[in-house]
Amino acid sequence: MLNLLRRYSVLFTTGTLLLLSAALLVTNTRTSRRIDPLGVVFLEIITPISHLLSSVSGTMSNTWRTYVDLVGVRQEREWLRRRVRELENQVERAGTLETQNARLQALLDLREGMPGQSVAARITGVDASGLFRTATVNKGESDGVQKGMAVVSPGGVVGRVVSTSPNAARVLLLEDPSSGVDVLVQRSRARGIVEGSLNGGCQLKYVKHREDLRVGDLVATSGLDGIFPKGVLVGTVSRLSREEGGLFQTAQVEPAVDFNKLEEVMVVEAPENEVPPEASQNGPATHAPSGG
Amino acid sequence: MRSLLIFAMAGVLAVVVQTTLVQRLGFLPAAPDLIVTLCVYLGLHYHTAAGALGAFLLGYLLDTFSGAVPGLYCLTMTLVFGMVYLVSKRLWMENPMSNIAAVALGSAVKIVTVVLYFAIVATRSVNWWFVLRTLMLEALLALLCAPAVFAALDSYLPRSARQHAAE
Repeated sequence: MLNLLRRYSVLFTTGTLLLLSAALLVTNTRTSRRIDPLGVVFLEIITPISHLLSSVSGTMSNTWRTYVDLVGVRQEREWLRRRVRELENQVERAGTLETQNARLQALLDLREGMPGQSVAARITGVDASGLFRTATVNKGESDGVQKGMAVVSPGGVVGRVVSTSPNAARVLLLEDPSSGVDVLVQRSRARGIVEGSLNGGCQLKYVKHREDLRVGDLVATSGLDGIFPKGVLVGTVSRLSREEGGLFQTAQVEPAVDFNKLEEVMVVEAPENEVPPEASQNGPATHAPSGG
Repeated sequence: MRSLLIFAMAGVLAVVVQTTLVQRLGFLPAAPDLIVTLCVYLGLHYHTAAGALGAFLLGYLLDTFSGAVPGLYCLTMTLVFGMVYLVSKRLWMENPMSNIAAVALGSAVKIVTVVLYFAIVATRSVNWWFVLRTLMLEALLALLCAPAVFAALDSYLPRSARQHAAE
């Protein structure tokens, strides 16, 4: 028996690990709680490296671009170009600082407008596979970030925290197929759910057929899902699809946040008691003064 | 011990490349699936229980850094290891072309597993064109990167250790 085990040890181990993986997959598919015992360890190890490499690669790509631009140019032109480049860099740096300043100011304004505790965080990495939409941020449990907290930016809703480690957290982005946000259409107060879709973008679903929905309508969080604060901009209705005889109408929503350009975000504590939309006379003010 | 350290570093590097560098450089349409390449390497050269465990852990690493349900990539990468292991036990796979064929096999196993998962489990409508295009692109980029990844691993891992593990 021992000989047999030794002889086929690879197959036995592979089989056992396959069973373990299948059990993990089935359990996680059936329950809403994420059972992920090693995830915290991996998140803690990789996030600092990812953060460091992200900074280094940014510097390297800038250096490479500068090098390519200058190759083959005569000395005088090179000197002139270098001078121009220096000045451009200074202007660019000033511009970058100005933009960063504006972004951080917008984040501060947003923080002041949020009801509960909030933590500013930086995006350090995106989803490792092309099929899902998640991101890693550099703040975790030690900074007060907890599973289920909402993530917003000055542009609007970003997503929610799905897993945490002491110094990092994973964020399920709004456009991931498994995300969903309870929303209100700002103009007509129609209620619905915004869901992500596999090919990017979002869909507004479960809006009653009789509700007035138009292209260009702003969609904001209702605060009723217990995750997002009320009135944070989600996106703009970009296309309608009404099926005759159906109970609900569906619309394509252009997210307010450009997820590819996202750098800083705010992790926000779940609202405690939001007023239902019917009770609010004028509706919530949308916390989204600036773009993405 | 040396192999373990090198594979741990390779796994971390692969995930960092997939999550950070490719996005930062911005000229690739998708990230190459380097984790599949590493699992294929394990399946070709590490015919031990540790090789299978390595593939499982690499899958877990990918599960942690993707939005997938935990377990999906564990299952996928263990299957990739198992398939490549079974094929390499029966066929001679010691030249660069057969290595690329093994990566293609690994990628195919991954595509089939993920597609089956979506077909069986997904509760929302699936855009199959997007899913297949993304998986194919990742597989194609993995094939292109495979010779470099294999050469890098070969240079760091002594041939004697690989042969010993394979026996």
